[in-house]
Amino acid sequence: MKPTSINCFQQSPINLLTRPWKRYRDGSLFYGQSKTGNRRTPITTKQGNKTLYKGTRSSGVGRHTRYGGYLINWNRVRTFVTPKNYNTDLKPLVSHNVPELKHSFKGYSQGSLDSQLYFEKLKEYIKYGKVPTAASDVNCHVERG
Amino acid sequence: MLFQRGLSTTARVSARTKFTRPKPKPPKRQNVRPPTQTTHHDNTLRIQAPIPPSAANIQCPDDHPLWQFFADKKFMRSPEELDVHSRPWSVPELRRKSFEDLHSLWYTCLKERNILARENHLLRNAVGGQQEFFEQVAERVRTTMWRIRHVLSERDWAFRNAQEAFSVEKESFVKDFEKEFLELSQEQDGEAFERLSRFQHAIFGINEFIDENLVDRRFVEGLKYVATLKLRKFASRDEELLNFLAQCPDQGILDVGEAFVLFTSEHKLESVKEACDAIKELRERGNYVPRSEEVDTVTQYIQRLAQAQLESPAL
Repeated sequence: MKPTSINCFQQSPINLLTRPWKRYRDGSLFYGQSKTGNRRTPITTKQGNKTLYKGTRSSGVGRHTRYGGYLINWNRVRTFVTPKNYNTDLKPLVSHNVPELKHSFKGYSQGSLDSQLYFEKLKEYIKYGKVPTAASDVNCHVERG
Repeated sequence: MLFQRGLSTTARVSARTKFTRPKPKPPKRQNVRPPTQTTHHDNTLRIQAPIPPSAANIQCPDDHPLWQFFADKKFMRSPEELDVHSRPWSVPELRRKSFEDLHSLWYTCLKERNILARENHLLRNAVGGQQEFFEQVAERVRTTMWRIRHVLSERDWAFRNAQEAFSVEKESFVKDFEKEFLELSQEQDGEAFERLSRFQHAIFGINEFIDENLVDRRFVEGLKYVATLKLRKFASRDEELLNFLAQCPDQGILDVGEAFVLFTSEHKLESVKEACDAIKELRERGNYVPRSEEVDTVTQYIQRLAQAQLESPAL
């Protein structure tokens, strides 16, 4: 194991300024600027010689067979879960004539994440079941949350 | 030609002098892979009259899935047809929606953005326009989409926070419910037991549909608690049940087999009485379920009950 450099513990102003773990071979200090540029970045697809194929880790959902066919491994194919009961009534945008709904989390310090609010809602659910509350009235634009 | 390199006499000695029956042909092989490529050498080519290229010759079914990339089956919408005034859904509005609705809305948004991206691409490359109205609408749809994700994450965090706090709150929560439940009069029995079924689902995960239940320790504890509560509810109306409840250790049902009998009985005084008689019988026989076997036993009970329900669908 390499012993810890003594310079790390010496509190001289120069030592605090320099990076003792980075020096040139001849012992001169390295301040983070070099003429040859940073050579430690990962290579890109444009670098390297003609045999270098970096790829993007994309594609490859199966393998080629001996006869020129292709077997798809369905575990590697991207899937999209569509909703079971697709509600087509909802549109991506809301009419600009509808005023925006506001939630006032009065008395709940954490807003919508408040656990007391959650318990309150749970109590209401147990008491009344799944019924529309007074706040889900169309003309109501400020509700508890 | 086998003995080409043999001695000068070999060929003459081993020459066939008699007629021998030729070997039968090998049977035709099954499972022969058909050729992967066919060529025109096997006369599959037929000459047809040339088809003049015109749009009328292209037929497309109305329900072709790629129509989902078009709005009203139009090549491109004009800026007047585009909905430029509408605003994205706000977060409070989305908070009112169920998961199913949000999921649907997400897909509607995604489809709309696909249409807009296609139209924008055409505008830039085929038509050569530099306007940005498609992009502006798409940006608004995108806002709706991140808000959907925001609401879902908010719900998840609220649930996690509540779960953490529930260990402290559980006692008072259950006590409040118990008080309200026991206070309801005989006429309100229907409502009371509806509340109880919602309560047991929320707190102990006991589902109304028997076969959808997952039996664990919480479920078993819930079974005991609900059975005790049911007994207490009816004990206030009947002397016999009150005596029975007083005899129980700790004023409650502690054995899960007994709890199950009470739990499955109907919400009527007579059925509860019958259940209590059955429990007395169990006790006389010395039938107890040890604590270590509770979960397995209840799983078996539930399976049997679900089986019985399947066989008599009228009930």
